[in-house]
Amino acid sequence: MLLEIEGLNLRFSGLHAVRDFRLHVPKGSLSGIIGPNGAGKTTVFNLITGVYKPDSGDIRLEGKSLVGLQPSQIVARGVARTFQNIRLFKDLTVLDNVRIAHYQTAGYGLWPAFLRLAGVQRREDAITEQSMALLEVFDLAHLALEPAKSLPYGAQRKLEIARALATKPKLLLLDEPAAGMNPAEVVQLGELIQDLRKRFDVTVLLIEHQMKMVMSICERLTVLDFGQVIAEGVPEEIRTNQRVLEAYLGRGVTLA
Amino acid sequence: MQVQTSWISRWAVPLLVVAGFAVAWAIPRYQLINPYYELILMYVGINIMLTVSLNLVNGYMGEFSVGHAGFMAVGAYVASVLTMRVIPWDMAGYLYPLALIGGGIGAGVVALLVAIPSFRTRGDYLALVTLALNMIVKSVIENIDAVGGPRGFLVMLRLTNLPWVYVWVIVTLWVIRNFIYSNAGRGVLAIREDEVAAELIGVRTREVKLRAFIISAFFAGVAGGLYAHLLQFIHPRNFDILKSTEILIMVYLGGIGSMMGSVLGASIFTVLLEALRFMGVWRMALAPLLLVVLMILRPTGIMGLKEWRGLIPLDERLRLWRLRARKGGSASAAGN
Repeated sequence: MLLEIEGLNLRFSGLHAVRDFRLHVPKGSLSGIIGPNGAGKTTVFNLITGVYKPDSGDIRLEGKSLVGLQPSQIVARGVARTFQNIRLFKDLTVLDNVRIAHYQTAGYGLWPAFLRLAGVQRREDAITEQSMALLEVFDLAHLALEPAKSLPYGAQRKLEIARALATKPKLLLLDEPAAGMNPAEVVQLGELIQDLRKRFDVTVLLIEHQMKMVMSICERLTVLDFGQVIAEGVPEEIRTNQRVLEAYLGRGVTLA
Repeated sequence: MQVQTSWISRWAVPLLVVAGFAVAWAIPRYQLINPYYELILMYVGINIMLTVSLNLVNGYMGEFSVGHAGFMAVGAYVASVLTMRVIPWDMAGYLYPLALIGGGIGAGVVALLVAIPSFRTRGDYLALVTLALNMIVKSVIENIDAVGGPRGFLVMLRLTNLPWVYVWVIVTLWVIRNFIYSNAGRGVLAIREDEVAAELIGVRTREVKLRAFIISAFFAGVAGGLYAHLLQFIHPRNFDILKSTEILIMVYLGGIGSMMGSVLGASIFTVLLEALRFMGVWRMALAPLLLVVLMILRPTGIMGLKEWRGLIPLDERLRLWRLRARKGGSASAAGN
Protein backbone atom coordinates (compact mmCIF):
# COMPACT_ATOMS: atom_id res chain seq x y z
CA MET A 1 0.00 0.00 0.00
CA LEU A 2 1.24 3.45 -0.82
CA LEU A 3 -1.25 5.37 1.30
CA GLU A 4 -3.08 4.02 4.32
CA ILE A 5 -5.54 6.08 6.30
CA GLU A 6 -7.09 4.64 9.43
CA GLY A 7 -9.72 5.95 11.84
CA LEU A 8 -9.33 9.56 10.78
CA ASN A 9 -11.45 12.12 12.63
CA LEU A 10 -11.69 15.88 12.39
CA ARG A 11 -14.13 18.18 14.12
CA PHE A 12 -14.69 21.86 13.41
CA SER A 13 -16.26 22.85 16.73
CA GLY A 14 -19.79 21.44 16.26
CA LEU A 15 -19.31 19.84 12.87
CA HIS A 16 -17.88 16.36 12.68
CA ALA A 17 -16.32 16.95 9.25
CA VAL A 18 -14.52 13.63 8.87
CA ARG A 19 -15.68 10.58 10.81
CA ASP A 20 -13.68 7.36 11.11
CA PHE A 21 -12.39 7.78 7.60
CA ARG A 22 -10.33 4.97 6.18
CA LEU A 23 -8.71 4.60 2.79
CA HIS A 24 -6.15 2.27 1.27
CA VAL A 25 -4.51 3.33 -1.96
CA PRO A 26 -2.37 0.65 -3.64
CA LYS A 27 0.81 1.74 -5.36
CA GLY A 28 0.30 2.58 -9.00
CA SER A 29 -3.50 2.76 -8.76
CA LEU A 30 -5.92 5.41 -9.93
CA SER A 31 -8.62 5.89 -7.31
CA GLY A 32 -11.37 8.40 -6.75
CA ILE A 33 -13.26 9.92 -3.88
CA ILE A 34 -16.79 10.99 -4.69
CA GLY A 35 -19.70 12.29 -2.68
CA PRO A 36 -22.24 15.10 -2.52
CA ASN A 37 -21.17 18.69 -1.93
CA GLY A 38 -19.94 19.26 1.60
CA ALA A 39 -19.30 15.58 2.22
CA GLY A 40 -15.73 16.27 3.36
CA LYS A 41 -13.74 15.25 0.29
CA THR A 42 -11.49 18.30 0.12
CA THR A 43 -11.14 18.14 3.91
CA VAL A 44 -9.63 14.68 3.48
CA PHE A 45 -7.10 16.12 1.00
CA ASN A 46 -6.34 18.92 3.45
CA LEU A 47 -5.71 16.32 6.15
CA ILE A 48 -3.42 14.25 3.93
CA THR A 49 -1.38 17.31 2.89
CA GLY A 50 -1.08 18.70 6.40
CA VAL A 51 -3.27 21.79 6.04
CA TYR A 52 -5.40 20.42 8.90
CA LYS A 53 -4.21 18.24 11.76
CA PRO A 54 -6.55 15.31 12.50
CA ASP A 55 -8.08 14.96 15.99
CA SER A 56 -7.33 11.26 15.83
CA GLY A 57 -6.29 8.59 13.38
CA ASP A 58 -3.26 7.97 11.26
CA ILE A 59 -2.17 8.73 7.71
CA ARG A 60 0.76 6.67 6.46
CA LEU A 61 2.69 6.98 3.24
CA GLU A 62 4.77 3.88 2.54
CA GLY A 63 4.27 2.90 6.16
CA LYS A 64 5.51 6.19 7.63
CA SER A 65 3.10 8.53 9.36
CA LEU A 66 2.48 11.97 7.90
CA VAL A 67 0.51 13.27 10.87
CA GLY A 68 2.04 16.36 12.46
CA LEU A 69 4.35 17.23 9.57
CA GLN A 70 4.37 20.65 7.89
CA PRO A 71 2.77 20.67 4.42
CA SER A 72 6.17 21.29 2.78
CA GLN A 73 7.61 18.26 4.61
CA ILE A 74 4.75 16.14 3.31
CA VAL A 75 5.58 17.35 -0.21
CA ALA A 76 9.16 16.20 0.41
CA ARG A 77 7.83 12.75 1.36
CA GLY A 78 6.18 12.54 -2.06
CA VAL A 79 2.64 13.91 -1.94
CA ALA A 80 1.60 16.68 -4.34
CA ARG A 81 -1.78 18.18 -5.02
CA THR A 82 -3.85 20.55 -7.09
CA PHE A 83 -6.66 22.76 -5.84
CA GLN A 84 -10.39 22.83 -6.40
CA ASN A 85 -10.28 26.57 -7.03
CA ILE A 86 -7.11 27.09 -9.08
CA ARG A 87 -4.25 28.45 -6.98
CA LEU A 88 -1.54 29.31 -9.45
CA PHE A 89 1.00 32.08 -8.87
CA LYS A 90 -0.99 34.31 -11.20
CA ASP A 91 1.44 37.16 -11.84
CA LEU A 92 4.46 34.91 -12.36
CA THR A 93 5.31 33.25 -15.63
CA VAL A 94 4.17 29.75 -16.49
CA LEU A 95 7.82 28.69 -16.31
CA ASP A 96 8.32 30.17 -12.84
CA ASN A 97 5.19 28.45 -11.58
CA VAL A 98 6.86 25.14 -12.40
CA ARG A 99 10.37 26.20 -11.32
CA ILE A 100 9.11 27.19 -7.86
CA ALA A 101 8.00 23.59 -7.37
CA HIS A 102 11.69 22.55 -7.49
CA TYR A 103 12.26 24.30 -4.16
CA GLN A 104 13.16 21.15 -2.26
CA THR A 105 15.27 19.62 -5.01
CA ALA A 106 17.21 22.70 -6.13
CA GLY A 107 20.34 21.35 -4.48
CA TYR A 108 22.19 24.54 -3.59
CA GLY A 109 22.32 26.58 -0.44
CA LEU A 110 21.94 30.22 0.44
CA TRP A 111 25.60 31.24 0.39
CA PRO A 112 26.39 29.90 -3.08
CA ALA A 113 23.19 31.65 -4.22
CA PHE A 114 24.41 34.99 -2.79
CA LEU A 115 27.58 34.69 -4.86
CA ARG A 116 25.77 33.09 -7.81
CA LEU A 117 28.56 30.55 -8.21
CA ALA A 118 28.91 28.49 -11.40
CA GLY A 119 27.30 25.50 -9.69
CA VAL A 120 24.19 27.55 -8.95
CA GLN A 121 23.96 28.62 -12.58
CA ARG A 122 24.25 25.01 -13.74
CA ARG A 123 21.52 23.90 -11.34
CA GLU A 124 19.32 26.73 -12.59
CA ASP A 125 19.93 25.52 -16.15
CA ALA A 126 18.89 22.02 -15.15
CA ILE A 127 15.77 23.22 -13.27
CA THR A 128 14.73 25.30 -16.27
CA GLU A 129 15.27 22.39 -18.67
CA GLN A 130 13.28 19.99 -16.49
CA SER A 131 10.49 22.52 -16.17
CA MET A 132 10.38 23.06 -19.93
CA ALA A 133 10.30 19.30 -20.52
CA LEU A 134 7.34 19.03 -18.16
CA LEU A 135 5.54 21.92 -19.87
CA GLU A 136 6.16 20.13 -23.17
CA VAL A 137 4.21 17.12 -21.91
CA PHE A 138 1.24 19.36 -21.12
CA ASP A 139 1.57 21.25 -24.39
CA LEU A 140 2.27 24.48 -22.51
CA ALA A 141 5.91 25.00 -23.49
CA HIS A 142 5.10 27.70 -26.05
CA LEU A 143 3.43 29.71 -23.25
CA ALA A 144 6.37 29.38 -20.83
CA LEU A 145 7.11 33.09 -20.57
CA GLU A 146 3.50 34.28 -20.34
CA PRO A 147 2.03 35.19 -16.97
CA ALA A 148 -0.02 32.29 -15.62
CA LYS A 149 -3.15 34.43 -15.35
CA SER A 150 -3.21 34.97 -19.13
CA LEU A 151 -3.79 31.25 -19.78
CA PRO A 152 -7.25 29.94 -20.68
CA TYR A 153 -9.02 28.07 -17.93
CA GLY A 154 -8.29 24.56 -19.14
CA ALA A 155 -4.60 25.38 -19.57
CA GLN A 156 -4.47 26.75 -16.02
CA ARG A 157 -5.83 23.45 -14.72
CA LYS A 158 -3.15 21.61 -16.67
CA LEU A 159 -0.44 23.95 -15.40
CA GLU A 160 -1.48 23.16 -11.85
CA ILE A 161 -0.99 19.46 -12.53
CA ALA A 162 2.39 20.16 -14.15
CA ARG A 163 3.44 22.22 -11.13
CA ALA A 164 2.44 19.41 -8.78
CA LEU A 165 4.36 16.85 -10.84
CA ALA A 166 7.49 19.02 -10.72
CA THR A 167 7.84 18.10 -7.04
CA LYS A 168 8.35 14.48 -8.24
CA PRO A 169 5.52 12.99 -6.18
CA LYS A 170 4.73 9.37 -5.51
CA LEU A 171 1.11 10.27 -4.83
CA LEU A 172 -0.74 12.91 -6.83
CA LEU A 173 -3.94 14.32 -5.38
CA LEU A 174 -6.23 16.01 -7.90
CA ASP A 175 -9.06 18.07 -6.45
CA GLU A 176 -11.81 18.27 -9.07
CA PRO A 177 -9.47 18.49 -12.06
CA ALA A 178 -12.38 18.61 -14.52
CA ALA A 179 -14.33 21.38 -12.78
CA GLY A 180 -15.44 24.00 -15.26
CA MET A 181 -14.31 22.08 -18.34
CA ASN A 182 -16.48 21.34 -21.35
CA PRO A 183 -17.27 17.71 -22.26
CA ALA A 184 -14.53 17.49 -24.90
CA GLU A 185 -11.93 18.83 -22.47
CA VAL A 186 -13.10 16.35 -19.83
CA VAL A 187 -12.49 13.45 -22.17
CA GLN A 188 -9.01 14.78 -23.00
CA LEU A 189 -8.25 15.24 -19.32
CA GLY A 190 -9.24 11.68 -18.55
CA GLU A 191 -6.80 10.44 -21.18
CA LEU A 192 -4.10 12.79 -19.89
CA ILE A 193 -4.45 11.54 -16.32
CA GLN A 194 -4.13 7.93 -17.43
CA ASP A 195 -1.12 8.81 -19.53
CA LEU A 196 0.54 10.69 -16.65
CA ARG A 197 0.19 7.75 -14.35
CA LYS A 198 2.34 5.62 -16.64
CA ARG A 199 4.73 8.31 -17.77
CA PHE A 200 5.58 9.64 -14.30
CA ASP A 201 5.01 6.38 -12.44
CA VAL A 202 2.72 8.15 -10.03
CA THR A 203 -0.27 6.96 -8.03
CA VAL A 204 -3.33 9.14 -8.52
CA LEU A 205 -6.15 9.88 -6.10
CA LEU A 206 -8.79 12.28 -7.34
CA ILE A 207 -11.95 14.01 -6.22
CA GLU A 208 -14.45 14.56 -8.98
CA HIS A 209 -18.05 15.35 -9.73
CA GLN A 210 -17.88 14.41 -13.41
CA MET A 211 -19.34 10.93 -12.92
CA LYS A 212 -18.70 9.92 -16.49
CA MET A 213 -14.97 10.50 -16.15
CA VAL A 214 -14.73 8.99 -12.69
CA MET A 215 -16.55 5.86 -13.75
CA SER A 216 -14.43 5.44 -16.85
CA ILE A 217 -10.92 6.01 -15.50
CA CYS A 218 -10.92 5.15 -11.77
CA GLU A 219 -10.18 1.62 -10.67
CA ARG A 220 -11.56 2.06 -7.18
CA LEU A 221 -13.99 4.53 -5.69
CA THR A 222 -14.67 5.63 -2.15
CA VAL A 223 -17.95 7.41 -1.49
CA LEU A 224 -18.20 9.96 1.28
CA ASP A 225 -21.31 11.44 2.83
CA PHE A 226 -21.36 13.65 5.92
CA GLY A 227 -17.71 12.88 6.54
CA GLN A 228 -18.26 9.14 6.54
CA VAL A 229 -17.40 6.41 4.08
CA ILE A 230 -20.71 4.97 2.88
CA ALA A 231 -19.38 2.72 0.18
CA GLU A 232 -16.23 1.60 -1.56
CA GLY A 233 -15.43 -0.66 -4.43
CA VAL A 234 -15.03 -0.80 -8.18
CA PRO A 235 -17.12 1.68 -10.22
CA GLU A 236 -19.66 -0.97 -11.23
CA GLU A 237 -20.53 -1.74 -7.61
CA ILE A 238 -20.77 1.94 -6.70
CA ARG A 239 -23.09 2.68 -9.58
CA THR A 240 -25.73 0.31 -8.23
CA ASN A 241 -25.12 0.78 -4.50
CA GLN A 242 -28.35 1.71 -2.73
CA ARG A 243 -26.71 3.93 -0.08
CA VAL A 244 -24.87 5.92 -2.73
CA LEU A 245 -28.07 6.54 -4.64
CA GLU A 246 -29.74 7.67 -1.43
CA ALA A 247 -26.88 10.04 -0.64
CA TYR A 248 -27.09 11.67 -4.03
CA LEU A 249 -30.82 11.56 -4.71
CA GLY A 250 -32.39 11.21 -1.27
CA ARG A 251 -34.24 8.41 0.43
CA GLY A 252 -37.53 7.20 -0.94
CA VAL A 253 -37.00 8.51 -4.41
CA THR A 254 -38.70 6.28 -6.84
CA LEU A 255 -37.89 6.68 -10.42
CA ALA A 256 -41.19 6.75 -12.13
CA MET B 1 24.44 40.51 -34.84
CA GLN B 2 23.77 37.88 -32.19
CA VAL B 3 27.37 37.88 -31.02
CA GLN B 4 27.35 41.62 -30.71
CA THR B 5 24.15 41.64 -28.68
CA SER B 6 25.46 39.10 -26.22
CA TRP B 7 28.82 40.91 -25.94
CA ILE B 8 27.04 44.08 -24.95
CA SER B 9 24.71 42.31 -22.55
CA ARG B 10 27.68 40.46 -21.05
CA TRP B 11 29.85 43.46 -20.33
CA ALA B 12 27.59 46.51 -20.16
CA VAL B 13 26.67 46.12 -16.50
CA PRO B 14 30.16 45.24 -15.14
CA LEU B 15 31.61 48.17 -17.10
CA LEU B 16 28.96 50.49 -15.73
CA VAL B 17 29.75 49.34 -12.19
CA VAL B 18 33.49 49.91 -12.64
CA ALA B 19 32.98 53.29 -14.28
CA GLY B 20 30.64 54.26 -11.45
CA PHE B 21 33.29 53.36 -8.91
CA ALA B 22 35.88 55.44 -10.74
CA VAL B 23 33.55 58.43 -10.58
CA ALA B 24 32.69 57.80 -6.92
CA TRP B 25 36.41 57.63 -6.12
CA ALA B 26 37.38 60.67 -8.19
CA ILE B 27 34.71 63.02 -6.84
CA PRO B 28 36.13 63.41 -3.30
CA ARG B 29 39.72 62.90 -4.47
CA TYR B 30 39.71 65.82 -6.91
CA GLN B 31 36.77 67.71 -5.40
CA LEU B 32 34.88 67.51 -8.65
CA ILE B 33 31.59 68.68 -7.22
CA ASN B 34 30.33 70.91 -4.45
CA PRO B 35 30.63 68.99 -1.12
CA TYR B 36 26.94 69.65 -0.50
CA TYR B 37 26.02 67.73 -3.65
CA GLU B 38 28.45 65.02 -2.64
CA LEU B 39 26.65 64.73 0.68
CA ILE B 40 23.31 64.39 -1.11
CA LEU B 41 24.79 61.67 -3.30
CA MET B 42 25.79 59.77 -0.17
CA TYR B 43 22.28 60.14 1.26
CA VAL B 44 20.90 58.86 -2.03
CA GLY B 45 23.15 55.80 -1.74
CA ILE B 46 22.16 55.08 1.85
CA ASN B 47 18.49 55.51 0.98
CA ILE B 48 18.86 53.13 -1.98
CA MET B 49 20.14 50.48 0.44
CA LEU B 50 17.23 51.07 2.81
CA THR B 51 14.67 51.06 0.00
CA VAL B 52 15.92 47.96 -1.81
CA SER B 53 16.15 46.02 1.44
CA LEU B 54 12.63 46.98 2.51
CA ASN B 55 11.34 46.19 -0.98
CA LEU B 56 12.53 42.61 -0.47
CA VAL B 57 10.03 42.14 2.37
CA ASN B 58 7.22 44.51 1.33
CA GLY B 59 7.45 44.29 -2.45
CA TYR B 60 8.83 40.91 -3.40
CA MET B 61 7.41 38.97 -0.45
CA GLY B 62 4.22 41.00 -0.07
CA GLU B 63 4.43 41.37 3.70
CA PHE B 64 3.98 44.75 5.31
CA SER B 65 6.89 45.74 7.52
CA VAL B 66 6.68 49.34 8.70
CA GLY B 67 9.57 49.63 11.17
CA HIS B 68 12.61 49.55 8.92
CA ALA B 69 14.25 52.46 10.77
CA GLY B 70 14.37 50.22 13.86
CA PHE B 71 16.85 47.92 12.12
CA MET B 72 18.72 50.93 10.80
CA ALA B 73 19.04 52.21 14.38
CA VAL B 74 20.43 48.91 15.65
CA GLY B 75 23.01 48.91 12.85
CA ALA B 76 23.92 52.55 13.44
CA TYR B 77 24.50 52.12 17.18
CA VAL B 78 26.28 48.75 16.97
CA ALA B 79 28.64 49.97 14.23
CA SER B 80 29.32 53.21 16.12
CA VAL B 81 30.06 51.43 19.38
CA LEU B 82 32.43 49.16 17.47
CA THR B 83 34.41 52.01 15.89
CA MET B 84 34.34 54.25 18.98
CA ARG B 85 34.80 51.77 21.81
CA VAL B 86 35.99 48.40 20.53
CA ILE B 87 38.27 48.93 17.55
CA PRO B 88 41.48 50.87 18.35
CA TRP B 89 41.33 54.37 16.84
CA ASP B 90 44.28 53.97 14.53
CA MET B 91 42.74 50.80 13.10
CA ALA B 92 39.19 52.13 12.71
CA GLY B 93 39.74 53.25 9.10
CA TYR B 94 40.81 49.78 8.00
CA LEU B 95 38.32 47.82 10.06
CA TYR B 96 35.40 50.07 9.19
CA PRO B 97 33.79 47.48 6.85
CA LEU B 98 33.85 44.96 9.69
CA ALA B 99 32.15 47.45 11.99
CA LEU B 100 29.43 47.96 9.38
CA ILE B 101 28.99 44.21 8.96
CA GLY B 102 28.79 44.00 12.76
CA GLY B 103 25.98 46.55 12.66
CA GLY B 104 24.23 44.54 9.96
CA ILE B 105 24.53 41.35 11.99
CA GLY B 106 23.14 43.15 15.04
CA ALA B 107 20.12 44.21 13.00
CA GLY B 108 19.80 40.67 11.61
CA VAL B 109 19.73 39.20 15.12
CA VAL B 110 16.97 41.62 16.14
CA ALA B 111 15.06 40.64 12.98
CA LEU B 112 15.36 36.99 13.95
CA LEU B 113 13.98 37.72 17.43
CA VAL B 114 11.04 39.59 15.93
CA ALA B 115 10.38 37.19 13.08
CA ILE B 116 10.00 33.99 15.05
CA PRO B 117 6.96 35.07 17.08
CA SER B 118 5.42 37.35 14.45
CA PHE B 119 5.45 34.88 11.55
CA ARG B 120 3.15 32.64 13.52
CA THR B 121 0.59 35.32 12.91
CA ARG B 122 -0.27 36.58 9.46
CA GLY B 123 -0.68 39.65 7.32
CA ASP B 124 -1.45 42.86 9.16
CA TYR B 125 0.05 41.58 12.39
CA LEU B 126 3.55 41.91 11.00
CA ALA B 127 2.87 45.62 10.49
CA LEU B 128 1.90 45.95 14.16
CA VAL B 129 4.86 43.93 15.36
CA THR B 130 7.38 45.91 13.30
CA LEU B 131 5.76 49.18 14.36
CA ALA B 132 6.17 48.12 17.96
CA LEU B 133 9.74 47.04 17.28
CA ASN B 134 10.60 50.46 15.90
CA MET B 135 9.29 52.09 19.10
CA ILE B 136 10.94 49.55 21.37
CA VAL B 137 14.35 49.95 19.72
CA LYS B 138 14.06 53.72 20.06
CA SER B 139 13.14 53.64 23.74
CA VAL B 140 15.72 50.99 24.56
CA ILE B 141 18.44 53.21 23.07
CA GLU B 142 17.05 56.20 24.96
CA ASN B 143 17.57 54.23 28.14
CA ILE B 144 21.12 53.04 27.53
CA ASP B 145 23.32 55.67 29.12
CA ALA B 146 26.52 54.20 27.68
CA VAL B 147 25.49 55.39 24.19
CA GLY B 148 24.22 58.74 25.40
CA GLY B 149 20.58 57.78 25.90
CA PRO B 150 18.22 60.53 24.78
CA ARG B 151 21.12 63.00 24.45
CA GLY B 152 22.50 61.20 21.40
CA PHE B 153 25.81 59.59 20.61
CA LEU B 154 28.79 61.42 19.20
CA VAL B 155 30.55 59.43 16.48
CA MET B 156 33.77 61.32 16.08
CA LEU B 157 35.07 59.46 13.08
CA ARG B 158 33.71 60.50 9.70
CA LEU B 159 34.49 57.18 8.07
CA THR B 160 31.74 57.26 5.47
CA ASN B 161 32.78 58.63 2.10
CA LEU B 162 31.40 58.39 -1.41
CA PRO B 163 33.48 55.37 -2.54
CA TRP B 164 32.40 53.37 0.53
CA VAL B 165 28.74 54.24 0.01
CA TYR B 166 29.05 53.28 -3.64
CA VAL B 167 30.63 49.92 -2.83
CA TRP B 168 27.94 49.11 -0.30
CA VAL B 169 25.14 50.09 -2.67
CA ILE B 170 26.60 47.73 -5.29
CA VAL B 171 27.02 44.92 -2.73
CA THR B 172 23.42 45.39 -1.59
CA LEU B 173 22.02 45.35 -5.11
CA TRP B 174 24.19 42.40 -6.10
CA VAL B 175 23.40 40.19 -3.11
CA ILE B 176 19.66 40.96 -3.08
CA ARG B 177 19.49 40.47 -6.83
CA ASN B 178 21.23 37.08 -6.53
CA PHE B 179 18.89 36.12 -3.73
CA ILE B 180 15.74 37.09 -5.64
CA TYR B 181 16.79 35.21 -8.76
CA SER B 182 17.65 32.05 -6.84
CA ASN B 183 15.58 29.14 -5.63
CA ALA B 184 14.90 30.90 -2.32
CA GLY B 185 13.93 34.07 -4.17
CA ARG B 186 11.32 32.22 -6.19
CA GLY B 187 10.00 31.05 -2.83
CA VAL B 188 9.74 34.72 -1.79
CA LEU B 189 7.66 35.52 -4.89
CA ALA B 190 5.51 32.44 -4.32
CA ILE B 191 4.71 33.66 -0.80
CA ARG B 192 3.54 37.00 -2.20
CA GLU B 193 1.36 35.28 -4.78
CA ASP B 194 -0.21 32.61 -2.57
CA GLU B 195 1.38 31.55 0.68
CA VAL B 196 -0.77 28.46 1.20
CA ALA B 197 -0.15 27.16 -2.31
CA ALA B 198 3.57 27.87 -1.90
CA GLU B 199 3.79 25.71 1.21
CA LEU B 200 1.72 22.99 -0.48
CA ILE B 201 4.08 22.69 -3.43
CA GLY B 202 7.06 22.32 -1.16
CA VAL B 203 8.30 25.84 -0.38
CA ARG B 204 9.37 25.91 3.27
CA THR B 205 7.62 29.22 3.77
CA ARG B 206 8.77 29.94 7.31
CA GLU B 207 12.38 29.38 6.31
CA VAL B 208 12.00 31.66 3.28
CA LYS B 209 10.33 34.43 5.28
CA LEU B 210 12.98 34.27 7.96
CA ARG B 211 15.78 34.49 5.43
CA ALA B 212 14.24 37.39 3.53
CA PHE B 213 13.50 39.26 6.75
CA ILE B 214 17.05 38.81 8.08
CA ILE B 215 18.70 39.79 4.79
CA SER B 216 16.49 42.86 4.66
CA ALA B 217 17.41 43.84 8.22
CA PHE B 218 21.11 43.19 7.62
CA PHE B 219 21.35 45.74 4.83
CA ALA B 220 19.23 48.23 6.76
CA GLY B 221 21.75 47.80 9.59
CA VAL B 222 24.71 48.41 7.30
CA ALA B 223 22.96 51.48 5.91
CA GLY B 224 22.46 52.66 9.48
CA GLY B 225 26.17 52.26 10.16
CA LEU B 226 27.06 54.28 7.07
CA TYR B 227 24.53 56.94 8.11
CA ALA B 228 26.01 57.20 11.61
CA HIS B 229 29.54 57.66 10.32
CA LEU B 230 28.36 60.32 7.93
CA LEU B 231 26.20 62.32 10.34
CA GLN B 232 28.75 61.86 13.16
CA PHE B 233 26.04 62.44 15.71
CA ILE B 234 23.22 59.97 16.07
CA HIS B 235 20.13 60.38 18.11
CA PRO B 236 17.25 57.96 18.82
CA ARG B 237 14.94 60.46 17.11
CA ASN B 238 16.82 59.94 13.82
CA PHE B 239 15.29 56.49 13.71
CA ASP B 240 11.65 57.06 14.59
CA ILE B 241 8.48 56.11 12.75
CA LEU B 242 8.88 59.15 10.50
CA LYS B 243 12.10 57.73 9.12
CA SER B 244 10.41 54.36 8.56
CA THR B 245 7.60 56.15 6.75
CA GLU B 246 10.07 57.89 4.46
CA ILE B 247 11.54 54.51 3.49
CA LEU B 248 8.05 53.16 2.83
CA ILE B 249 7.28 56.15 0.59
CA MET B 250 10.48 55.54 -1.38
CA VAL B 251 9.55 51.85 -1.86
CA TYR B 252 6.03 52.55 -3.11
CA LEU B 253 7.13 55.56 -5.16
CA GLY B 254 9.68 53.48 -7.05
CA GLY B 255 7.45 50.45 -7.35
CA ILE B 256 7.16 47.19 -5.47
CA GLY B 257 9.05 44.13 -6.61
CA SER B 258 11.61 46.08 -8.63
CA MET B 259 15.18 46.92 -7.64
CA MET B 260 15.42 49.54 -10.36
CA GLY B 261 12.22 51.00 -8.95
CA SER B 262 13.83 51.27 -5.53
CA VAL B 263 16.93 52.93 -6.98
CA LEU B 264 14.73 55.48 -8.77
CA GLY B 265 12.34 55.93 -5.86
CA ALA B 266 15.15 56.57 -3.39
CA SER B 267 17.01 58.91 -5.76
CA ILE B 268 14.00 60.99 -6.76
CA PHE B 269 12.63 61.30 -3.23
CA THR B 270 15.98 62.22 -1.66
CA VAL B 271 16.87 64.79 -4.29
CA LEU B 272 13.37 66.25 -4.32
CA LEU B 273 13.35 66.67 -0.56
CA GLU B 274 16.66 68.54 -0.75
CA ALA B 275 15.59 70.65 -3.72
CA LEU B 276 12.50 71.77 -1.84
CA ARG B 277 14.33 72.93 1.24
CA PHE B 278 13.25 76.54 0.52
CA MET B 279 9.69 75.48 1.31
CA GLY B 280 10.62 74.85 4.93
CA VAL B 281 8.17 72.66 6.83
CA TRP B 282 5.81 72.58 3.85
CA ARG B 283 8.08 70.19 1.98
CA MET B 284 7.09 67.52 4.50
CA ALA B 285 3.52 67.92 3.30
CA LEU B 286 4.69 67.46 -0.26
CA ALA B 287 5.98 63.94 0.23
CA PRO B 288 2.61 62.43 1.17
CA LEU B 289 0.94 64.54 -1.52
CA LEU B 290 3.37 63.15 -4.07
CA LEU B 291 2.48 59.67 -2.95
CA VAL B 292 -1.25 60.33 -3.26
CA VAL B 293 -0.85 61.73 -6.78
CA LEU B 294 1.31 58.78 -7.74
CA MET B 295 -1.13 56.24 -6.35
CA ILE B 296 -3.85 57.81 -8.49
CA LEU B 297 -1.83 58.12 -11.69
CA ARG B 298 0.33 55.03 -11.35
CA PRO B 299 -0.73 52.82 -8.46
CA THR B 300 2.10 50.32 -8.92
CA GLY B 301 4.85 52.93 -8.59
CA ILE B 302 7.29 54.11 -11.23
CA MET B 303 8.51 50.63 -12.21
CA GLY B 304 5.71 48.50 -10.76
CA LEU B 305 6.89 44.86 -10.78
CA LYS B 306 9.04 45.46 -13.87
CA GLU B 307 12.79 45.16 -13.72
CA TRP B 308 15.55 46.80 -15.70
CA ARG B 309 17.28 44.00 -17.60
CA GLY B 310 20.69 45.00 -16.27
CA LEU B 311 19.56 44.02 -12.78
CA ILE B 312 18.69 40.47 -13.82
CA PRO B 313 21.62 38.02 -13.47
CA LEU B 314 23.30 37.44 -16.82
CA ASP B 315 22.84 33.67 -16.80
CA GLU B 316 19.09 34.05 -16.20
CA ARG B 317 18.82 36.70 -18.90
CA LEU B 318 20.56 34.39 -21.39
CA ARG B 319 18.37 31.47 -20.32
CA LEU B 320 15.16 33.40 -20.98
CA TRP B 321 16.62 34.79 -24.18
CA ARG B 322 17.32 31.27 -25.43
CA LEU B 323 13.78 30.18 -24.56
CA ARG B 324 12.40 33.10 -26.50
CA ALA B 325 14.63 32.24 -29.45
CA ARG B 326 13.53 28.59 -29.27
CA LYS B 327 9.94 29.70 -29.36
CA GLY B 328 10.91 31.54 -32.52
CA GLY B 329 10.05 34.93 -33.88
CA SER B 330 7.81 36.69 -31.39
CA ALA B 331 10.61 38.09 -29.26
CA SER B 332 8.72 40.67 -27.32
CA ALA B 333 11.40 41.91 -24.95
CA ALA B 334 9.23 42.10 -21.86
CA GLY B 335 11.97 41.76 -19.30
CA ASN B 336 10.46 40.39 -16.16
